[in-house]
Amino acid sequence: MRILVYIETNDGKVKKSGLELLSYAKALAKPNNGSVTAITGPEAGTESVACLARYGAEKVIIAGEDAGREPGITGKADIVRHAAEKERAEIVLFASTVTGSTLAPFVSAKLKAGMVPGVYSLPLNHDPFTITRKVFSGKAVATVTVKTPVKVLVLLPNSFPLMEDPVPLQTEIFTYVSTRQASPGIQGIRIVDTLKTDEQAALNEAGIVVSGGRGLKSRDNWRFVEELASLLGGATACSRPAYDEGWCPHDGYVGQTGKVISPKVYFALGISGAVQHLAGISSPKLVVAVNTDPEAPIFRHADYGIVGDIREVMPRIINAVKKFKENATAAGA
Amino acid sequence: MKILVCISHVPDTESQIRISPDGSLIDYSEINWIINPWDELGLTRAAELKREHPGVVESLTVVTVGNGSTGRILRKALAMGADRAIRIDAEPLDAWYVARQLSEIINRDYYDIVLTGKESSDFNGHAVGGILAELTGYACLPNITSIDLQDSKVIVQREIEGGKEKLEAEVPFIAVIQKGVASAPANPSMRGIMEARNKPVEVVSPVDAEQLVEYTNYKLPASRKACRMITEEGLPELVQKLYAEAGR
Repeated sequence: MRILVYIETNDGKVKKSGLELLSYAKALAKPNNGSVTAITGPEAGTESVACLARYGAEKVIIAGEDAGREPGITGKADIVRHAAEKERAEIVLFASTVTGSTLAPFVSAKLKAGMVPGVYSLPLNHDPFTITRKVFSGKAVATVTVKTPVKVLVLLPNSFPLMEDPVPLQTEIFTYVSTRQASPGIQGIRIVDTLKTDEQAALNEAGIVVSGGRGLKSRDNWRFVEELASLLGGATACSRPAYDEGWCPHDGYVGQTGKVISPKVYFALGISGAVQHLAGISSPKLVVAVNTDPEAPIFRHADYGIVGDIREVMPRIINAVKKFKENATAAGA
Repeated sequence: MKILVCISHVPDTESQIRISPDGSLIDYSEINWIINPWDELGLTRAAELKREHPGVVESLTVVTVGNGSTGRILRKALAMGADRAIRIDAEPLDAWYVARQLSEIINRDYYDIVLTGKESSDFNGHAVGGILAELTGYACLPNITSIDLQDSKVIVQREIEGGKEKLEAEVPFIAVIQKGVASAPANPSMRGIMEARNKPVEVVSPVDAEQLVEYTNYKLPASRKACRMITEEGLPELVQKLYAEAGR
């Protein structure tokens, strides 16, 4: 089984979601006598390429200069398509990030490959190829059969543990000039302005997310969300009511029509737990809820619940985390 | 300028999902159908553009792939300001199948701007817009969070990894709609509802198309263990557990 993995970088460094993809690819390839090739852009530095080999990429393709410069996404997809064909890949893997989930359908269409988004586990079976995923925003789990020889899978961040598996590095510099005629409208697309806000990418991949809702009661209490997130090395998020009140500095909220995240640990602070909000969180392993109302629906979706006012409960949680960290440092020293 | 908004019907977010006893089907018998939230935002914005630029936007059409049960959302779309509706009379088997059907309509009629939702809230596939762009050869603008008309140009904003980007685009193109394009879905006015009764709904037969993926089985997610309510004494254990889960 030949697997091609699309690796994204941030400031030249491989994103954590990319290493998760490689770990997943290795777990998939090993029992099936398979091979894993990574494809990335020229912005990946030497160190990043070495890192890919450490996580088991037997071959690293560095795609040509102009990969991704075209504002329309089809050029980038065409490079991946070409690499997949050249490598005779049976599985093409993407991370469920903004870039990955945008690119995947284009590559799937070019290869006429069945695509499965929201993947969080290894396939159940290889022939026929079946795999599970959540549908109806997490309200049901479905088994999907992919009928095409090539499959495109999109893996949720934080759903697969990282596993190093060093192999000797083999790199191929790959320049591919698309022979495909650009779409009629593409020349007419011009980038006017780009605004970077890195928090968004951080939220997407964060293992721990601390999220605040209406129960914060005031903008001032947002500091508890910030403090806990920074102590835990996590990202902050909010629910729609907190967003509408302007309590959080974010561009957006977590929810069905907002951001969809897949952290390992989710703190819901003063969030009641409406279905629209829960639909924005994909399979967290641990949910901690703090709410004044013991009947709040969030407690039906939480593993640990604390009833109480944010202003009283938060200093205690923050204190407990500080103590734990001190003890861990002391034990380590 | 002709605008096409692709819409699909999905169970209301509040709906409980029920599965047939053998697990092979979703039981839709008591489902309240709504327009997919992303599609609804796209349609809301398209109707606004038509009102704001009456000379520029000549027509606003909605299209769906589905059986007769989609009638309700098509009427609502017409009441929200679409001029006409097209229903491709087929089960939406998978993203490829749906995109193939939609591409036929685009090739038949030609549209300057095509809007599709980023995903649908039922199968959350994220795929139709991208595949549709590939099949039609239209330029594709993914993750669009705002759309405005200025002379013959269209100004859009889109979400990119870790930020935003503002683009100027010439038609034709497909815009894949992300939340933000309209602040909230529009409610149809009484006048809109009355007018919708006389607007045309065209029913089209599907073309032959393949199905690349098939949903063969469903189950409800494993229920979570009951929540453990804790007080201050429980905090050290909680902190330990969360560090273990986060893998640190």
